[in-house]
Amino acid sequence: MKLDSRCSLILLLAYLVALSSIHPGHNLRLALLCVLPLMLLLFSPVAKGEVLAQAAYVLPFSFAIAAVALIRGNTAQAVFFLLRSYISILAVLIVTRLLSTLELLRAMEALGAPRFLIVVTEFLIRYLEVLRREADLMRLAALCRGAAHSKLIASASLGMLFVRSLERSTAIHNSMLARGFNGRLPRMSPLAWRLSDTGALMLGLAVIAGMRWSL
Amino acid sequence: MHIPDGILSAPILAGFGVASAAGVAYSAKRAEASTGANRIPLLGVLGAFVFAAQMVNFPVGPGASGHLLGGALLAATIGPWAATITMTSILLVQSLVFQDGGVLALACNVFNMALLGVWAAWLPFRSLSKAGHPRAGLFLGALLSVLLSAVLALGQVSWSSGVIGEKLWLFCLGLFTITGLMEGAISVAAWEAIERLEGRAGHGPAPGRRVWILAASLCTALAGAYLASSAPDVLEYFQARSGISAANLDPQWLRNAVAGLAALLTLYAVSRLVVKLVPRGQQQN
Amino acid sequence: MIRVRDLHYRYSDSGPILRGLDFTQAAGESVALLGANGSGKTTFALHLNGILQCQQGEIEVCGIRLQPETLEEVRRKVGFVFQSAENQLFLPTVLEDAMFGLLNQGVPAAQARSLALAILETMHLAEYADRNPFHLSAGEKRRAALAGVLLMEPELLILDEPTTFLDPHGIRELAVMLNRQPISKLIVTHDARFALQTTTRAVFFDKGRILAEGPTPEIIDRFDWL
Repeated sequence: MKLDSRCSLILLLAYLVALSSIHPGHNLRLALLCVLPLMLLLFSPVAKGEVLAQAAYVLPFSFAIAAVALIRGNTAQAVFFLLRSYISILAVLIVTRLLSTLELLRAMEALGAPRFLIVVTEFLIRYLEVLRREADLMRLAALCRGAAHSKLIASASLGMLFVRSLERSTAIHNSMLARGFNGRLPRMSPLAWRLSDTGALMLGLAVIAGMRWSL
Repeated sequence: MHIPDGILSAPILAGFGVASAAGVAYSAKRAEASTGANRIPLLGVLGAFVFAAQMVNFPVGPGASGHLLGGALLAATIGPWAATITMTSILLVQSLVFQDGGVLALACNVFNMALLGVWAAWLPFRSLSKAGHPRAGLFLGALLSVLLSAVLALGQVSWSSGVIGEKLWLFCLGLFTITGLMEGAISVAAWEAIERLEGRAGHGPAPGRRVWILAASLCTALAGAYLASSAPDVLEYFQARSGISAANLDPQWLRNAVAGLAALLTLYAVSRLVVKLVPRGQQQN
Repeated sequence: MIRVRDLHYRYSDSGPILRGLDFTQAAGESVALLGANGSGKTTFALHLNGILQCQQGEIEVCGIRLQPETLEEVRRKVGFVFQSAENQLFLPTVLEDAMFGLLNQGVPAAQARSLALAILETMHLAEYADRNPFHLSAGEKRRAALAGVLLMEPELLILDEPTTFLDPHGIRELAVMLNRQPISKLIVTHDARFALQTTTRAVFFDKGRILAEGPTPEIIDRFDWL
């Protein structure tokens, strides 16, 4: 059964807060907290290998810090930063796989994030897709004219890409106006907080707090 | 510059989290009042494009690269409140969809880039604009925006992890300055184009009409950076170099630094050229 | 239904597009706007629900004079199906997109959902309700866009080049669906056969003016438009 997106978001944030509050050297707590996302991953309907690999994306950054710690002779600290950043992104990845970005944004709005920010973000996501589609079309057109190896053409077409994206976004906006858009995106289905969400939230917070503060 | 989760300590996150939340909430109110709901799609398009521009890294030094932040351009184009919200949106999407920057770390990333980055650019831009020097204001603003954001980000990482030493700090400052100069050059090229469009020095934002020119300049910047290195961005790079003393740098560094500055000048020249070449009719669309 | 007097319009970067246009359409009437590319048909149509604002002249639609204050009311009564269905369909699923207009009108979500499902059924799109609109065929996209507009129960339906990208079968299907709608229609089209199937009167545009108007077959014949 799927949890309310607000419940999932609160639990994710609580977990990340718990993780960020432990210090290098608290190895047992870190190990315990690592168990949670791994368990979640095990029982979630997501591509497990893919998520584990994708989480490694963060490693170059944390590796840099780990390297500094290593050079200073602090191996434990190096491992700590590597592990903590990896497990943090793993938790975020699982949640973003289980919930769509729009669901997460709605949860943020319901939890008090400014609506104006959320609507701008929804449009940004929408226009990223427009930008990508226009870029694809332009690349195809350039390829058809033998521009496969010309970096110059690819660069020059970036300006045109923006112009076309802007035109399309204006057309989309016009069609929205024609259907009564007044600056507020309507919500398709209201969020519904059930008793099970309260239960899951309490249980989740208790487990996270227990793992963080019991030892 | 996008700090991931798992690096920052709880007190840093809590402190900057409160500041960011308050700043963004207030900015949203002001942006909604000053921008109007009808402009939301425009902010979305601008955000999407700056988002794309941020993905292109340009070389700034020995094996390190930086990317456009866009805060100064956004501030000068749509005003500081809307720019703060647009930058926050960009960071939100980068974090949620692309895992570029952490979710909890948004507390710091939003403060560094969407609040400090935008206001550090807006204040000098506005005061020098009033004194009749918008270009100087924007250049200084963009430079300050990048410098302050980057220094604060490095500071946050340093306070949280305690692993960044003094020499590394100095070295980082050098690279941040190059990135900042680059940002300044691109932003000024954009501003000159805006002036040409409106036939006067601009005061305050007038979105929509300026978008084309902002786009032209961003595109020029992107085109210039097409050959960009795939090296990690400045902050990541510096951390990787920690422990290596700045004094130990070999002559390769000098060559790279000169190359970075040359790239900067080329970008600036190309930006101006594009501005000159874009026909007036097209600019007024 | 529509009353337009002396409408002028020019884009900021070009010469005049509309040069003193007069037009009337009675309630329940279906009218085709014909004419060469750039003759001002779409520019004219975009005025009728206020996407383009009147620079000079007067427009009255469904008994309401078009002004910034009346825009919302007019848009509730005028449905507009744009030339590019892709630009119109912007939400993640066909169902959500169909519901968009209703939700903007303040219809509760549950009611909007059931109304949307019902119209998707009549448009033969029920099985695509949860699909991304971008993954539909051109004909299906057009029907999905039309569904989203018809759901709002407009008094006047404006269609801009509705047959673009459609195959002959899709065009026939669209004509049948439109003829089932007992509302006023204004159809901007280059497709003379489609105009014959769906409208009774045609107006021929030329350089921002109405050159002629009359029964659709007569106008098509006169300008050799088939």
